[in-house]
Amino acid sequence: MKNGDKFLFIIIGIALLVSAYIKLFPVKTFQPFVEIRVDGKIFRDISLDSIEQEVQVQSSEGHLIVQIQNKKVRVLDSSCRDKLCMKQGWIYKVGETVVCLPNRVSVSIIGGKNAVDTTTY
Amino acid sequence: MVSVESVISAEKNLKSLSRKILIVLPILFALGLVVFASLRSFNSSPYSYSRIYSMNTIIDIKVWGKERNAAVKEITDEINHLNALFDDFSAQSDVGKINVNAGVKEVQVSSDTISVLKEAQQMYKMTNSNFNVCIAPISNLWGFKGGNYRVPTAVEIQNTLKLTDINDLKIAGNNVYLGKKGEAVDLGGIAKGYALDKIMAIIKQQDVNDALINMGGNILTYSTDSQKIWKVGIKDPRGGGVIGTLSISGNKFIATSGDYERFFIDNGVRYCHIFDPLTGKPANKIVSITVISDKGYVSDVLSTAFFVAGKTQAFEIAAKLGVSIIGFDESIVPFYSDGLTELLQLEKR
Repeated sequence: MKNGDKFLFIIIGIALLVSAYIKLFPVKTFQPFVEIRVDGKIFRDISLDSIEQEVQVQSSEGHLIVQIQNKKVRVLDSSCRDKLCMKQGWIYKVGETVVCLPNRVSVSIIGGKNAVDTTTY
Repeated sequence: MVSVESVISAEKNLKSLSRKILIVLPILFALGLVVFASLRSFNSSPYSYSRIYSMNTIIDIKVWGKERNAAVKEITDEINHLNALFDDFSAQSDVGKINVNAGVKEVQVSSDTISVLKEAQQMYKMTNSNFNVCIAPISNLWGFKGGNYRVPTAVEIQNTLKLTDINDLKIAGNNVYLGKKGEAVDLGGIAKGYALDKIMAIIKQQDVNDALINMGGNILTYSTDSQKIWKVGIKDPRGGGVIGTLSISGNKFIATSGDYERFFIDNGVRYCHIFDPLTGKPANKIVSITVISDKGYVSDVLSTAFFVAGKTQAFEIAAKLGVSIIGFDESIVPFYSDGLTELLQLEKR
């Protein structure tokens, strides 16, 4: 094997390593997604672009159904007493959150650009 | 004279040198690539994030900088500490003890409870009595504590209003006494702001660069970078999204009060959880108001007081106290302080 060959092999090997590294630790310029948290911990992340779906969420306090449709998300049904989470209606912008306090469940839209950092309410 | 061996060894040396270069160069190249890739993935500096449930609400804590983990830990501990003191659902909390012993005896409470009650008394005066920390018997009458909502009779309201006199709240040293049985304090309109003030003190002591805390809609912004701008959305009072976005720089406290947070509808009338201390009825002059100030408890209390007071009085008091406001009336038409024109971006509706 000639030195030039070795050089080539080493370069190819390193290029593979670097691309694997980038693949493993991607830059966070992701598409907006829906993050459902139960008791403060991540329960499920779902793309906002995903097909229409209803997600069953169970917490220690009760359960609710999160609906994703046409890049919007809302709480469709909840076992809580005041139903304020349902009354909050659809959210669709990055940074928006619907909270069900009694059930300790939150549904947020995260990622993408032009996000608000947080929302006052 | 050059010996044959030395020529051969020189050639060998040259060969091994070029071989070394051939190996070292690609490794350097690779290291460079790895460093580049790392910088690429860490171009936004790391932060510590925690979402907790305390003080009857949801709290998001985000801290950037060297001591971010320690700061989040300390902030969480402080919140839990205050929650244990202020929780009006617990008979063991300071607030619980004060309320249970109303008209019976004075009780000794922590210095935090004394401080927050004194701030509440001060704000009662500053807001032309539109904020009353002793309003609890009225909100209980309307069912806002247990969730059994109902519209009480005028007589019931008049009788209950007699139990909301803030002058019956006596503070002496570390002792608190509520004068009449049935009276009660509720820190709902001030506790979050007070907590954020304490959190700001913690943040300033730690080696952190930026912090963003959202405590049930009450926001704290902190940055050591004067150029840093936070995008703070204002919730649409009649929809799920945001109705406008504020560009906030510096260390600020932002609080909002609205009729959409907790309410019930009876015979087509919306009754919300914020009461006019004068009438004992839910306030309904405006639907939402946001206050931006340099003090957590000021923003928290003023948002509640301005929601009760309505647009005209809100502007008067805001100008007097040097705070900025943005509110929405019944037709969702915005009104805001002149100083916010450049910092506020409203959504098209």
